[in-house]
Amino acid sequence: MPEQPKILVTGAGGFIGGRTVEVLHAMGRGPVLAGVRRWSSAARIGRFPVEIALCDVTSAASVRAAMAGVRHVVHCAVGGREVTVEGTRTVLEAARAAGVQRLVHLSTIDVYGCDTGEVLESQPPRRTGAVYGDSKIEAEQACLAAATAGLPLCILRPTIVYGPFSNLWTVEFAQRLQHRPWTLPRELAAGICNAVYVDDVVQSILLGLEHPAAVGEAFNVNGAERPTWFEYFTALNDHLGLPPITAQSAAASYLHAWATKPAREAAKFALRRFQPQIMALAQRSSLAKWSMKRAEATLRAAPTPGEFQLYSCTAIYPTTKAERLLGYRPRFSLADGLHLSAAWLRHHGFIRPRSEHTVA
Amino acid sequence: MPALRQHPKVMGRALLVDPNTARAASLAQRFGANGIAASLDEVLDRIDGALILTPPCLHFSLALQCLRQGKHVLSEKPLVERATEVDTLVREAAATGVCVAVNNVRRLVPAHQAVRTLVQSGSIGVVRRIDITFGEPYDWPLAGDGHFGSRGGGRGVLADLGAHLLDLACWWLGAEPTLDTYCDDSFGGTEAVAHVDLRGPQSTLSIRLSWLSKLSNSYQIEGSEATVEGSLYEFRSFTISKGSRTEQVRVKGPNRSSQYGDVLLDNFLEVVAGRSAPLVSASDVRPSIALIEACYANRQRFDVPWHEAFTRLLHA
Repeated sequence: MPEQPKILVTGAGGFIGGRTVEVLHAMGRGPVLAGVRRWSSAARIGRFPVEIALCDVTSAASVRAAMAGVRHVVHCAVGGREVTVEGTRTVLEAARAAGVQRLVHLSTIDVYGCDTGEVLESQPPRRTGAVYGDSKIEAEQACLAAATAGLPLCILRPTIVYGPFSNLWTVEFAQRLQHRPWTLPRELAAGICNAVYVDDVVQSILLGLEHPAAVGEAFNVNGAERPTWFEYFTALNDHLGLPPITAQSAAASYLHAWATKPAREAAKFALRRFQPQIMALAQRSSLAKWSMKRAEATLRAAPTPGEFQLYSCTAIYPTTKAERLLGYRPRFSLADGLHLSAAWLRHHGFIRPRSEHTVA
Repeated sequence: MPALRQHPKVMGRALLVDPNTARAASLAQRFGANGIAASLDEVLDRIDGALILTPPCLHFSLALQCLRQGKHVLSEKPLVERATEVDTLVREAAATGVCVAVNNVRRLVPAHQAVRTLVQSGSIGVVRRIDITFGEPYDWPLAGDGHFGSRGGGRGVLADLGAHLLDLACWWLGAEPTLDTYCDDSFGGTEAVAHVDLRGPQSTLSIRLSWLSKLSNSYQIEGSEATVEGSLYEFRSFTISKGSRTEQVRVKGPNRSSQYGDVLLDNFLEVVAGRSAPLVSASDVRPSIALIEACYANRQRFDVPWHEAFTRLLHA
């Protein structure tokens, strides 16, 4: 009996790819092939009885091997330019050669390079010099060329994706909220946080895989609400049961950011050049280890100058196109998503029990 | 392999066995091994002892094969999956006059040894509670797919990190606790987070394990007279608290984990030469193997609302 066609998810060791594998498997949407770059990144998806394959998108042979017997592809793998641009080209070429019937490419709203206004899919991508956004523009261009050549695909542009297993927008903020002082006052975080819960992104992926109207199109994927960043931080803080936020003044926050900038850069340089020596020193000396932990905590609490720009952006990314063509509708309010995220953070030990919370 | 390289004469006689012969050949060249083979059968008559470093589900059959041919064994942890398999290995080893050593290397850590002495001597009174928490994002450089998901045999972080820490708890306590509850996050694959709750003669034990997040990586043993606390990464120190007084205890010994691997390997070479007994033997780890077996036999899944939330998408 011939094998049932599979759904390959690239980047399955990551945040969105991992959740996509879990949901596809749980919903019984056919055999799922979880593509990982390294076996060691499979600990999360290995909890499910899914097939796991090495799928290093920087290796054409690896991708071709993973693509055997695959009908649908969800392309979540992301990294430096080599992964995001060349890797996407490799995946597209292998998908075309394997006769894949639908490919969903995970892109980002960073392709718009916008800070203000209502940003619709009709707006052309704009390079800003940022590696991530510019690489995603190139990857989208490769997708559009592949679509023109006959590969049925769609492009999804999620906003700020948060939820369980999100290091960037969930774990990091939760830990910063827990380790006071909180250094981002309301006036420096008044921009729009276009937060979308990860399962709503997976919803858009399912629609992208199955809906006929998705082919050849790009879609914004966003949540239903438009909180400010400060409202997002406050809501996460409340769901974690932490003491209320009492932020520094804007002047103190700027000072904190600029004063720690040289130390942050020096630490990055030192870690890049001397990581083994630094780790060895920490192992040998309790004092050195303690000092490093203190420095890390201080740097973690401090905002970077670049963050101020992000938290002041007022652009919004409507999902009217996805709603109209695909029937997309966010199923998770911010409260729902943060409630689930907080439960996950506690369960995984990222947040100390309530009795241990302190305010500096 | 790096530990074995400290013994050039031994490495010069070592044979690497792996069905992936290309990889075995590459490693043999890199580390200066004597040769390679695709299966154990091919080399059994040419060896004195075997280091078994395969996925855990193969440990028992390979160890048994070696012992029946009168070859000493040093196995990676967990030694085997069932307590009866430990008994079989011990019996077979006795029959052919060889030994089974196990890489439960935490027993060699001086701080852990000193903690055991304190507990066993009654210096902290009656042990009331043991808490051990250990978690790091999984980052072992695996060469194959035998560890996770369908191919991992449904045994994940408990069999991996738990093999060390349940053994440590049993060893400290000097008794085999019984299983109270065991929960993990497996959905039919290999669990990545596990909570073990045990009950000792007069104590409760709690062990928390994760492959997904960094935890406190610490232990606390609460006695009726004093409490001992330490980091699982601190091999030469811990604290002991009596009332309001806390004292740091320092002990001597190596400070890098790889150095304990070297000690264990040195010991195994002495075992093979007939000059020493194993530092950690198969019988030593039987209580923790029995507990891990009981955990898997009684596994329950955590309440995971963040996973079940996908049902909202069913009608999307």
